[in-house]
Amino acid sequence: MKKIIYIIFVFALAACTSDSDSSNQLEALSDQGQGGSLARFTILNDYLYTVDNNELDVFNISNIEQPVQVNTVFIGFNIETLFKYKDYLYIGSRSGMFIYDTENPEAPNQLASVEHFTACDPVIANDTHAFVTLDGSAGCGANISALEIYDVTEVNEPVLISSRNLIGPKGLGLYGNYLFVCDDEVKIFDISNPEESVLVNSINKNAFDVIIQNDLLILIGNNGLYQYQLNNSDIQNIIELSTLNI
Amino acid sequence: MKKKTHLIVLFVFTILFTSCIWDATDDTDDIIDPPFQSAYEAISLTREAFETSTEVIGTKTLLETGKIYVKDQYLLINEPNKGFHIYDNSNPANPVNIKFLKVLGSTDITIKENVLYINNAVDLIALTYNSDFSDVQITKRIRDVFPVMLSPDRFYPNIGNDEVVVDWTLTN
Repeated sequence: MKKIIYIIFVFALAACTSDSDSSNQLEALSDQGQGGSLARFTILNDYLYTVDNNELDVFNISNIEQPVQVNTVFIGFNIETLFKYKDYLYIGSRSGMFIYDTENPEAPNQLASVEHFTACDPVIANDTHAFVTLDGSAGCGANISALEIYDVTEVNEPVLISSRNLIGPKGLGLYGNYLFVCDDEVKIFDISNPEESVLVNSINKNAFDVIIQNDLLILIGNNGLYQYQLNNSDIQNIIELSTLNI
Repeated sequence: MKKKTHLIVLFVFTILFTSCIWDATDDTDDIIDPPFQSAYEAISLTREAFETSTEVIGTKTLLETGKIYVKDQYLLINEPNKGFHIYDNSNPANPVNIKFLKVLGSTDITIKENVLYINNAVDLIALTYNSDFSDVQITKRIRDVFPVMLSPDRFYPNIGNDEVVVDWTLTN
């Protein structure tokens, strides 16, 4: 009898966890907004994560109006960007990329760090790859600029699989199998085969960051904000929607 | 072991380059000393004035672009250290500027439900907003979580204990 009660109890608990998991994911999709790749703030479930020069700060926001600082984690020097993918935090610094897991959301744990030459570098990621732009053009360090692609299938062992030279890359964004990179113009790479990215189109605008939401492309540059309608089945078909000049 | 080798190489190079500098000074007398003073002046407020400086104003001309953020129909464009230009982007072919949210020393934002999280210079603030951004209220301020803002040429500000740096301006 005791055993049966125990089993029922376990099942009941299991039901609870799967329930709350799926609802959390739905919440995460609809309740949060979206930033660009240069962002330093991100939200994962009930936690707000922020990076400054050296540190990752963790805030509990289970009461969303009343954040509580719960931890500060030293990461490294010249931290620049913070990007979340699934339960991972990707942190870009001038000397490399760091990947943290949030299994314990209050104490993120470093899984990997990859060093590269000194340059300004946002990082974004999908299921299998991390994409890093290295800008050596703006007094950020080396005089080399590149797009680096890492295989992160084994997230604690990122492997550099591709590096291609660029002019002065900044923000970047993913659109299915396409990667948009803010370089001297906005370059669009087909990354179906990430080891051999192919330049397939470009937009003649000077931008430093990008947000792609469904088929809407938003570019922000020093001279304005530009919006476009994308078409995933035809990447050549990009329709300009509006421009805000400053 | 590898790290040690790196350090030794670095050390040797440092010594080598140091000798270069001495050579140079021997040959020429017109070496320019690095500046010991910033070319910029800190703009600071007293803590009290700073904490009451966040407000929504009609709209304001966008003078400098910063990071962007989208949530529902809203598009927010940061003007570095000044605040956020808020657009109704329901129709991306015609974004409409609706408000300016003044947050001094701000560069970053993220939003969950109807709460904005923003860096307000050294503080983190949480604010609620209503649908037309006419009513924005600070619900929480966590003081001194972020580093003091350095000048663009990387100098520390020379300010009083009770002051907060919100920006830097070029001195003539």
